[in-house]
Amino acid sequence: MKKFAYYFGNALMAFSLLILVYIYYPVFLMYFFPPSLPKNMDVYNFSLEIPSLHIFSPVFTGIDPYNANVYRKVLEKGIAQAKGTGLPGQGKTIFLFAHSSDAPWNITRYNTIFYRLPELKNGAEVVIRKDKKVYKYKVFAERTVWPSQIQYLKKDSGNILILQTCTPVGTDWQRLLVFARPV
Amino acid sequence: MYKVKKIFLTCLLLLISAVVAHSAHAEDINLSVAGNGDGSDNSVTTTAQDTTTVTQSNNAKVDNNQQTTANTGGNTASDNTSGNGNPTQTASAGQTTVSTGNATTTTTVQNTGINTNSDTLADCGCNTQIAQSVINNGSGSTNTNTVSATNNVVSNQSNNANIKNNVSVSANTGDNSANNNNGNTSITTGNITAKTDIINKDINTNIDPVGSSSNVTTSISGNGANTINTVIANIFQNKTSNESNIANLLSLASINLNTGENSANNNNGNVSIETGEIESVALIENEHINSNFYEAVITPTGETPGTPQTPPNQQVPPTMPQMGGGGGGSGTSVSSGNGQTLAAAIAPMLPDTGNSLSFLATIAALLLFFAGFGLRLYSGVSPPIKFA
Repeated sequence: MKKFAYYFGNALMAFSLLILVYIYYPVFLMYFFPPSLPKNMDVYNFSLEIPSLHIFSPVFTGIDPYNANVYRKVLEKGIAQAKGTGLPGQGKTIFLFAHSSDAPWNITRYNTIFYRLPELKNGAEVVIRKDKKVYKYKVFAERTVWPSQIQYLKKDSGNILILQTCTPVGTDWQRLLVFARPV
Repeated sequence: MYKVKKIFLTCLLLLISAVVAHSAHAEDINLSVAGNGDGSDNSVTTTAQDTTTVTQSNNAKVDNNQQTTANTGGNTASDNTSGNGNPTQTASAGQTTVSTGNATTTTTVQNTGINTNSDTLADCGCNTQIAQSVINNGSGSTNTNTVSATNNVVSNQSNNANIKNNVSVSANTGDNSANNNNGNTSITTGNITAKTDIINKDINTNIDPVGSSSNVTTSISGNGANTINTVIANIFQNKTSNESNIANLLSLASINLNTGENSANNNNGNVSIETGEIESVALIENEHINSNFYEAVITPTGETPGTPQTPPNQQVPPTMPQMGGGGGGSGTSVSSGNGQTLAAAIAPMLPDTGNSLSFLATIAALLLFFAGFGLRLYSGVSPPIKFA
């Protein structure tokens, strides 16, 4: 019996370590081997780059933020721009959202693009490229809100950029909002 | 008739300085250069200053207490061996049933248009009427009529509102008991739907359009040949607006919904309890709180004043909304009462951009690890690594 317990205990520990490696290997790569930037930064018509976090991703416009069936498909490929909010150059609030985490078997390069968003501090640079024009922003505030606080999505607060993802990372309990203004 | 020689008179200069400050209406100004002789040189210059102060103040205290109750529960069907004729309690041989109806509550408390100051021209009497004329002067004369008028308007508008909304909603389809029955017993409670709205709108509003105006009429007539007649009107308008709004808004919603708390004890037979669903939406909204509207002053060049405009949008830092406090934000909350399940909360949410599976999988992996570690300790077999 004790022999069985010995081997079974070893198997459980090994299996649990395998699970942890499977879950966090993409995260390990994200921090220590971040993806390299493309040579042509205009490869996408609309893209977002956060240099300090090695984030570069396409942005898909006009996505309904209240319809999960719609935005979940888009978020597998990159960042979504909320329908009804502004676009760069319009002088209106731009609301972009993306995953911070997903099911372990789903974690890819693009669908957890905002995993490191909580690390953004005031003064960090965010670069948006659209139609071969470059718009630079600087982070000035962040807020953690409940999912029901949609006024940040509905109200136009002028020419600012809001990035949204779920927090704490690995959950969908609250929403992290990062605010940036143009420089 | 003697031919009148040209007589050059020294300028008759009338300088009237009148500084009038009062809280009543502005005065009229009538100036005339009239009836002077041939070849005369006449000039009238007037300077007038008028100050009008308008003070408007509102204080409001509103206390709303609203209680809404709906109850179909609290029924008892006990100690039965057969039906007892009660319409909500039926029993066939060996069957006791308690079935309660649905409960629906709709509660709305709305405060609209409290404390509004409107400072219009007609109300403040800040207009100045100026009439200038150069009439009936002799031939060859030079006549000049000059007015400089300054209208000062000081508008003090203040509002103070204390609004308290206290709403209590209670709905119950549960709290039923069916005990000590001989036979099968079932309790089925109805659904509860509750909608609660507390709305504060247009609280403390100041409307402060154009502060003052001057109407100038001129008349040059009946003068002789070869006269030079000049009418000059310099109008200055100064507007000072002091606006103050203080709003203390407290909105409390207490919602107690119950489809449960049913008991069926000591029954001889099968027992079934089905509780209804609860759907509750509560909205507390503050809209247009502490608003000031003003109108840009256009210099009198024949253009009409513009339409009232709101002050330019300030890029305020985003703040967490205060539920029930002052400010112009709006909030939505959803509450649930006791019961089996919470039906659709309905309120829209910020997009769901996370997944708890990774977190849960991590917890599961850690538990597995510690379980395996525990088994290793239980096995008592030494680990391969020996510590010195």
